[in-house]
Amino acid sequence: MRGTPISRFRTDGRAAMRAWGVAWLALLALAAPQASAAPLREGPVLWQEDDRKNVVKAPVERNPNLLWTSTNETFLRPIGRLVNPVRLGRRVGTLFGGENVHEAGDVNTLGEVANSSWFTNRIGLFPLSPEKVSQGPGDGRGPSTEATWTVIRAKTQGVTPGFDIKDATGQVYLIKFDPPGELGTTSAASAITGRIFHAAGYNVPDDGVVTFTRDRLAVGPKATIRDATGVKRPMTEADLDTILHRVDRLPDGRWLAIASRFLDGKPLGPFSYKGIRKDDPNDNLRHEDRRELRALRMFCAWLNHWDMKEQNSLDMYVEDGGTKYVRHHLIDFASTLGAAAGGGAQPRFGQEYTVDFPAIGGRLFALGLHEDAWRRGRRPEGLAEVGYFESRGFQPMEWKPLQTNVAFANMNRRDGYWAAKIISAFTDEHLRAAVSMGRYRNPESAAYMARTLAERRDAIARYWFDRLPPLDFFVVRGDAVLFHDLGAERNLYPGATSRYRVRFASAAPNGSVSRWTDWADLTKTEVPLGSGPAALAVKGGDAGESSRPFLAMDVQTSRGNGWSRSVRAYVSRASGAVIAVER
Amino acid sequence: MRASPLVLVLLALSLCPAAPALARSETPSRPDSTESYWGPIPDDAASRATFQRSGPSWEHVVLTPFTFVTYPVFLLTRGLRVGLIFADEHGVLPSLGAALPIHIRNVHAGPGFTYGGHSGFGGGGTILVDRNQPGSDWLKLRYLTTVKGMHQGAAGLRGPWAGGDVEAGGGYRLERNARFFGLGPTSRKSDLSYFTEEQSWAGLSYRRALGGPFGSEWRVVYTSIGTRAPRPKDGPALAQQFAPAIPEGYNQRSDGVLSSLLLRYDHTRGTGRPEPGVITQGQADYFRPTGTYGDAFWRYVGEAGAFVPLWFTDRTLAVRGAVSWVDEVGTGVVPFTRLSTNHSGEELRGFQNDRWRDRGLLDLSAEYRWPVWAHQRVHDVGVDAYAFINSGQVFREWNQVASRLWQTSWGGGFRAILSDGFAGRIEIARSRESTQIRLRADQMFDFKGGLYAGNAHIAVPN
Repeated sequence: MRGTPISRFRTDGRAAMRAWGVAWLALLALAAPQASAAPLREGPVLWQEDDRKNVVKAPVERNPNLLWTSTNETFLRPIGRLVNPVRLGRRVGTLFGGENVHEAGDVNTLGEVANSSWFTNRIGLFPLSPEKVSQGPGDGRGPSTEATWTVIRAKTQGVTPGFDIKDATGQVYLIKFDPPGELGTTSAASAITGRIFHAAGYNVPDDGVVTFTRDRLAVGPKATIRDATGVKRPMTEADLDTILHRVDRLPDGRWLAIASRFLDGKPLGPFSYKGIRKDDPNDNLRHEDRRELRALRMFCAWLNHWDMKEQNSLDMYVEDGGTKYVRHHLIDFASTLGAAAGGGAQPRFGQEYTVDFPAIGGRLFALGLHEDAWRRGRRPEGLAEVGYFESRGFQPMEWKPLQTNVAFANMNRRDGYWAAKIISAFTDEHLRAAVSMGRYRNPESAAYMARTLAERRDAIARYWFDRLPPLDFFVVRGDAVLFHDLGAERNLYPGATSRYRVRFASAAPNGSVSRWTDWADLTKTEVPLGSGPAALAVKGGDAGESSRPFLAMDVQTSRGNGWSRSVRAYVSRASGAVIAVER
Repeated sequence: MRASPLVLVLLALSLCPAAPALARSETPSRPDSTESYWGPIPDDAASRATFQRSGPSWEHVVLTPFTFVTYPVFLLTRGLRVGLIFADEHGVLPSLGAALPIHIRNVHAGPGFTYGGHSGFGGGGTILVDRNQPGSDWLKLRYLTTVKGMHQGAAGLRGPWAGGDVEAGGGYRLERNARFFGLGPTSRKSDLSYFTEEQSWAGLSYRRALGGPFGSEWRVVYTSIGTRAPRPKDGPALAQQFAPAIPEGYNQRSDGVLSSLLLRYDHTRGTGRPEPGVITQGQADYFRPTGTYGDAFWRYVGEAGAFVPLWFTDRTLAVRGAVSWVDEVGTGVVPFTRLSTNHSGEELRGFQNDRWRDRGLLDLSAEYRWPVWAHQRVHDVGVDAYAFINSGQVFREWNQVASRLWQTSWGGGFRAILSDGFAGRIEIARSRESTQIRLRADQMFDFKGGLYAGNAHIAVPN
């Protein structure tokens, strides 16, 4: 007997529910950890992304609308992420050890980001001197002082006026001033943050703090100015005086500003943190799947770069050795380290999104009986050049920019670990060198800034190293595998004794392994291959040597509170090289 | 004979280039090395690749139907994007944050809206003319109409005079579905009836500071209130529901001059989110009829409010007490439209507007506010949540004030505070009789709405 329409609907509904249930279970299974998902292969590790091929036609300049990007990032994209079935499935999957987001796409088998037009491995992979860090992307000297600086254009809109100058070498710089009453805050932040980002591996402009007197400047004959109404007209010396009159001066009468050297090439506007630039044939990987952009979240948390909108990035069409391609930059670091480019830095910056629905809901239901910690935020007493920047209560994953960021939302554990590895590579000396470029007038400001950066650095490193053991840089040397314990080397667990243990197995290209050997304790970060468990593993895998051409090595560490998760390194039997590392 | 795998490994290891020893302790002595912790990083074709992967394939399988189903939403967001960018780049949106977003020289105009009460949803606008300085406005025109046939227009002028401020204003209000439930604290909700109320007023006032937080105001206003039958669709009519005892003044027009003296103690600052302080005022009105109907009467109004700072930031307890009393001269006749009532939405908020009406009205309220969102600064633009309780009653004689006749309502809502002190609020209020939802754009406990402001919070000087 045929059912009524309603009963049919109910029957269909139950079937649909069952189907959905099955689909979700399948999804969960897929979202569970997928170790060795990528096949192991013999061959060189990929260290270079092939994204600097010649682009004959310059891509079109982007000019995204700030209101739209803010609306989109604040309201629409978070909702989209919330209802995205893949994200929902993965979120449930995290309960079973899965990842919240799929892996980044520009990562090699060692877990490192390949060099590209976005990122160049620097302090994370190479020993860098403090001098190199302080030098930044340029020579660190700023505009030439051999002759007057010729003002070529100016703007009067906004809280902080500025103008462009050309120095004796013909190099063009943007001169930007601190907001009223904030002398030294944004200029120092720009110089320090730029150097740290550069040392980390990002492309940034060469920003330096400069001081000058009025006679250093001369208005060029073709200089123009855009007044408050947006009208462009020839610029006069009086216009320059008006601009200089609006900004604070040092006690000795000089002006202090940030000089930002114009980037080479043709500006193409900001890059988006989502999708690709379709008119750039080199741009093949969705930006939200780039590890350097996902993990940028941790760098921004470290530096409290709360104004992380796409408008603070810039693509340049550059020529390099006869090849033209698009290089991607981060720009404008005035709103970092507790400062605010427009003045009026607030303790809330870095703590909440502009419209942070979970926080709003929390406050609503708390009925006013709970005070947000940021409302008690204070600037360090007596240090006028430092904004709201402190390490007390800093929790890396609680940090938030003003706008949500799709790449940040895609950060997973391995992205976070990668960032922590680079951040922790900055020693106190590196930080002091970077801070020295902020040219604080008060030495206590510089000391506070370096100390706070170091404390926030350690907080980030500990957060991620507690979750993914910082056993890294596996290399074969002689008949042993050497590795680094970044947690111990970088003194992140003072007082703790680090112990290690290792086990081996033979591994097939698909990652399947033979029987693991028993765990063997290590006294140092060196694993002999010719004896002990390694030898046993090799022997055990003898029968299937051709089908198991790799040696898998699990290493764990203990700081006195139990063994960590494993870090697995694969050694090729043929080449004797470490070909992959999984964590 | 097969070689031992271990031998092969060791052989291979011995043949491959020796990997560098990169113990951390060595790094300080070899700064700026070109050799990485992983060993040499080549830049040859073999170590170069194009990365294109974007998630595992199963994700695409799951997402494809989702993308298909949500495509209309995607198109909607594209439409929103086009509209938003157009509005932004053509100067429409940047000015909407202000209460009066349209500015032409020294004339400012902006929309207004209302929801709740018995007039329903409505909108209108305000026009201000200033003297080319913020806050120097001298002419104000307001108009509001609702879907249920309410029309209200007001014009106000103000300017300095004799050490104080003079205000002149006039207005007109037509309410086609005014409600009447009977008089006194025992009136019943089920006796709801309708009538049409038409009011007009014009007058002068003079405000003068008396030193410190003290201020005074003298006011003379000619008012006219007429009542008649409602529209046929708004039934039952008052005359039908209360046929045995039609209230005094129905189907009549009461004209007269209302002379008022008001003394105020104001220790608050008139911002959107008031600072701690106290505001108190007492007012005495004398009504002298000029028409053929009604008699003279006195009315006394006393109000006191305080903003009490509580714990943390911006947690405030706003308390308010208000009493009004109409005192007939001798055995004079006072039309029911000039009696005290919970008309403004400030008193007994969980009840319908005009639900209670009589010679006296007593109302006590307490409102607890706490911030839920701040745009940038702690004390700046933001949204406060609030919970309140209203309690009070109307009475014919003072001895009628009794706990058994006392009415209580409670509720909560949100107040949005904009940078120029303008506040919008949405609230839900509950009483034993009804649930009221009100959406308004004004300041809570605004005692200062005078003739210039169109008497916004008391509707009309009745």
